[in-house]
Amino acid sequence: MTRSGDRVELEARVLLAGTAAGTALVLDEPLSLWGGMDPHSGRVCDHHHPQLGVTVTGRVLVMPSSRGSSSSSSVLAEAVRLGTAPLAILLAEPDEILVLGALVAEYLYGRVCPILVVPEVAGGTIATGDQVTVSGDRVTLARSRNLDGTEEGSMTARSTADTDDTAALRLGDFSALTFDCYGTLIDWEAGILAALRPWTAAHRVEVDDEELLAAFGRAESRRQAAQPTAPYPEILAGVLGDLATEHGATASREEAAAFAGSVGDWPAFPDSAEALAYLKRHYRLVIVSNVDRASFRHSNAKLGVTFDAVVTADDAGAYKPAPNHFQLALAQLADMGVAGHQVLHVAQSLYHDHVPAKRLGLKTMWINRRADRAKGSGATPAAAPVTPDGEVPTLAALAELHRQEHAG
Amino acid sequence: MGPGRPAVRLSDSDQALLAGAEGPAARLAMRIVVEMARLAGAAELIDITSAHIDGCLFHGDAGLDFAERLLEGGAVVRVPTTLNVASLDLLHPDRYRGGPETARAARRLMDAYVAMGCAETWTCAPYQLPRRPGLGEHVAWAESNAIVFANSVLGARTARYGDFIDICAAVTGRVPDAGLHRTERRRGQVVFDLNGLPERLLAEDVLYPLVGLVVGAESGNLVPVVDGLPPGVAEDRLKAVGAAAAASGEVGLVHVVGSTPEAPTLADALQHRQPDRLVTVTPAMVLAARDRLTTAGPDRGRLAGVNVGTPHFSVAEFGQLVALLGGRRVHPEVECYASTSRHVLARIEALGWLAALEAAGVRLVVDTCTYVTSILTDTAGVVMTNSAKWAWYAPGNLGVQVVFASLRECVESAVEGRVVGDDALWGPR
Repeated sequence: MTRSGDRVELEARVLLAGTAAGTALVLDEPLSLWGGMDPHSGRVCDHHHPQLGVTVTGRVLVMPSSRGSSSSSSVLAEAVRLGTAPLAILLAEPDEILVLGALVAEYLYGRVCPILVVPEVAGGTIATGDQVTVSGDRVTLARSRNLDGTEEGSMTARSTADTDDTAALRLGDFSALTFDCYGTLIDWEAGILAALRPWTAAHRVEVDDEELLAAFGRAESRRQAAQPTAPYPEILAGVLGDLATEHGATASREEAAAFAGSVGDWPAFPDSAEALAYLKRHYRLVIVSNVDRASFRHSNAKLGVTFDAVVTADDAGAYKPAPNHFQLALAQLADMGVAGHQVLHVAQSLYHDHVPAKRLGLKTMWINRRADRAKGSGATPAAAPVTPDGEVPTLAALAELHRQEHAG
Repeated sequence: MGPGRPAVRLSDSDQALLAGAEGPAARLAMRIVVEMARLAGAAELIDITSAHIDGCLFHGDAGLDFAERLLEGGAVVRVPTTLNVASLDLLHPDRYRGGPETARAARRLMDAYVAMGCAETWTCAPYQLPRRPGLGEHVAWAESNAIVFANSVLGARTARYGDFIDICAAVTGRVPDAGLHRTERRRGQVVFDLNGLPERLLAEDVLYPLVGLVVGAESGNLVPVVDGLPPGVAEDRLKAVGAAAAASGEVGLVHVVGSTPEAPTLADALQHRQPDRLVTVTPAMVLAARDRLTTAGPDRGRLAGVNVGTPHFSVAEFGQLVALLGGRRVHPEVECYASTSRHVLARIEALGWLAALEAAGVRLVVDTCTYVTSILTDTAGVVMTNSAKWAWYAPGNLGVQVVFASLRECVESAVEGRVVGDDALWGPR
């Protein structure tokens, strides 16, 4: 490896010769193209891969190795035929399956996807965003400037809430934040209670706030799993019916309709709008919410900021903790040039958000709005064991964490 | 191609093929075999006794273009050659849910391979067919689970062949003398010690795909050895280990001490050298592997389907399925599929099991597999499977939510119409 200025020259072993120049896309884990890359879209579609949704087309694909099915040759040849293939592939070790696919595509269509072994791939020398030129057995890297600046010695920011948990997380590593809305940005527990209290009073249902929220959480998650394509107001109307049944009461059509339409009245947490305005200057912001589009418009007005993308249950055709929201959001972010590892998911609910997001390999930040409560998980069901990558008590604390890291 | 690499030594007949003496298709096939030999650093090519083709599964027009280019150039296979699953169930064409254009292209691809002289076996489990290769025999098999089975369980020798090179090997009868064809490359390098697993778990079929998953994820490009299983592990369990290992990793051979022919003892599997790595497999790792395979949320949701037979169900596995059903019927709202080969189908028909399965509402899928092609009609609910390989690929291929479980759990769930967990097996959730 030789360096001159911001250019790095690497020696490579040519598996399939050719020339290419383009931007690097570094995959952190091996990828089987078969079952892992859709040749029609050029996107990573392996649900077990941390960079699900990222597009390889037109990039210099850098990965430790390929893995899995021997049908990956066909997928690569098909991608070359369709024009969705990477410009070139750099591997840490030889891979005959990929070379074969590229070789056959060259025989059939006269188009070359060079493949080279570059030992430095294993050492993380190449970063996503680097400009890579492939020519003969030479691979040249030109570093993007901000990457050089943060390469060494930058401080690791620590959370104000819990230093141990967030020691490893650097907010500067991310370029997009995906948010849960209700419970995270909107104080839905206050909103739900305000909407339900007139009904409990009218029907003399005696239940304390925590119990009522827990019953809501149970009924809501049950209905969302059973009717994944029902609009959210319909879910809420059904939940009121379930609560009535559970407490031996009734709920009129008007009461159900009023509860169904209450989402727009649920208040924002006091710190949400200001913190979002700050974060908007540093990140792309995306909503992934178990809500319908119409209700969200009212909530959005309370949050002030314009989101770069909004994924609702209407769009996903499912409710979290199903993975659909996250897959859609990752696909939309990929179109904006943001890879999965550059995304931090920010949410209060372990059940709806952290469990499915971690399952898809996303990094997560827990806005533990209920840290001051003694027990229970409020309006969200208890979750399977999950460890978010970081934890803060409020959104304002997250913005402050970023401010400190930025200054440090 | 690479500077400083010695050329591959070619026989007179190799040279003749390269020169086009047997037509343009044999020439193209030999060029590709030689390129791959150079890449692998092989000194020469060796003869094979059989081939198994994966290229007959339709992935797009590139595969079809290649097969038809070979066919037009006069390609004929030189060794007995079997065909992997394709995209269509020729015996039950109505089960196919894809578009008519894809179906036509898939059919053309299948026809091209048959026209080159391949046998219409359409199975990912060619090792369940009557004639199978023996210890030390060189073959060119494609399809990752078949490769592992041939190398591990049969002791035959095949590299990890894939689409394109499989038919090139069949047409030329030659492969590079490299990779798992060579004795030294078959040495066990990483030992997975299962001695810490409880007896109760070792007795369960469901353990084996999970062990395979751990092996695949942890082996990298090293040859794994599984140690600590009771001797004489059943073939279907070894099949499950291999299929899962090949899905989650780059595994082409896994020695199972006391069960596979090159591993009568741990020392034999290691070719009497020290292992590079030792992995102690704990019950927690097995449970983590199980949870990794389940993509459905903790409340599981509505059960839409149950899929078994990936890789293709054997006669013995059908026997288990019939016994577990015990004359009960699959719930009317659950689609229950079992994938297998037409060869095994004929055998279970003769045993009377096919009629029993059909009466129970189990739908048999042959020639193809439910995760490579559009068979399921209801992809909105969760789908259960006892196959780690199905669970691994189906969420990406079909967009379904999966619950991985034992065959018994799959059957009980199919009958009851909801996801039923076996607490005695796993402990309460």
